[in-house]
Amino acid sequence: MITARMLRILEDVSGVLGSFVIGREGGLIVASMPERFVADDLELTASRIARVLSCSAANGTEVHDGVFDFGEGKLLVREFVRGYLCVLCDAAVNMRSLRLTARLVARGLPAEL
Amino acid sequence: MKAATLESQANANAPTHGRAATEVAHSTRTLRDEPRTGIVRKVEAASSDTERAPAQKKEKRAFASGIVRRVEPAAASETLDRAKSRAWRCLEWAAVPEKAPRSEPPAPSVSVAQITTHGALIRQSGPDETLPETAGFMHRVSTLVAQGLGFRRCRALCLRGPESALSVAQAGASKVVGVSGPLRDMTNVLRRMDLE
Repeated sequence: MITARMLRILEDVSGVLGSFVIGREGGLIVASMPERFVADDLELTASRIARVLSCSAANGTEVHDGVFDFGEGKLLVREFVRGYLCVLCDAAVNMRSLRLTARLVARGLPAEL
Repeated sequence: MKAATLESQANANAPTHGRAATEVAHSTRTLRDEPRTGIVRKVEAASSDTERAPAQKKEKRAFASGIVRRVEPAAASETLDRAKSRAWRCLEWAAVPEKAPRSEPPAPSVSVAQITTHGALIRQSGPDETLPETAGFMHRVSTLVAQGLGFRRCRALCLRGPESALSVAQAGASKVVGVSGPLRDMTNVLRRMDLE
């Protein structure tokens, strides 16, 4: 409940489409995404994101934050205690505002999810 | 020699009393002694009288400018010519700083790998030897992530850690470029991806 409310805060930033939280092993913990995103597809995507991040860690870069640039959209990834907060947004989003808000939300996410 | 001749001529016709006698005496002294003007001149060693004079006597005639001093000719290692020349030199003449040995350029801290979209290596540089494989894997999986979220492809991804960063970007239709390195050297990449 608290987590869902925290994720709603991110949608106050103009251009944010949705967000979800994944564990370090790739499991989808909680999501606040538009209805067009099916849960099964989202779980598969979450596991792929976790693989990319673990590959980076194996290469020597433990990820604190990162950006996937899809051209028409972006995915911001922010580390928190139990995993990663992922925020999907369109290309015109103010990244400075989004990074600041994502940092605050990631700090506020409870350790027990 | 010349000074001695001039002195003897001056003494022969010199007046013995009054102001004229004082002026003649002053000019004679000027010819004999070096002026203490502070201007440094090179003293020639052509005179045989000078060569016969002991070294200590020569030292007493040193200028008082305090800027330049004569090199001691007494060292056995010096050549005879140098000892006779009485040339004036800076004391630090032998202490010319040697050129620092050319050092190797510092090893690059940023690694760059260019691969095709199929994973074939085009070019690689830097200390990160596994970067081509890492970049290829990340490009494939990030494309799947993009398609899973409703996009066609992933143009670029940039991941930042506490001390280093890694970036994988598609360059053109068939090339992927991976860059990794310490944060201080990845500032431009991070700024381009709005992570700085």
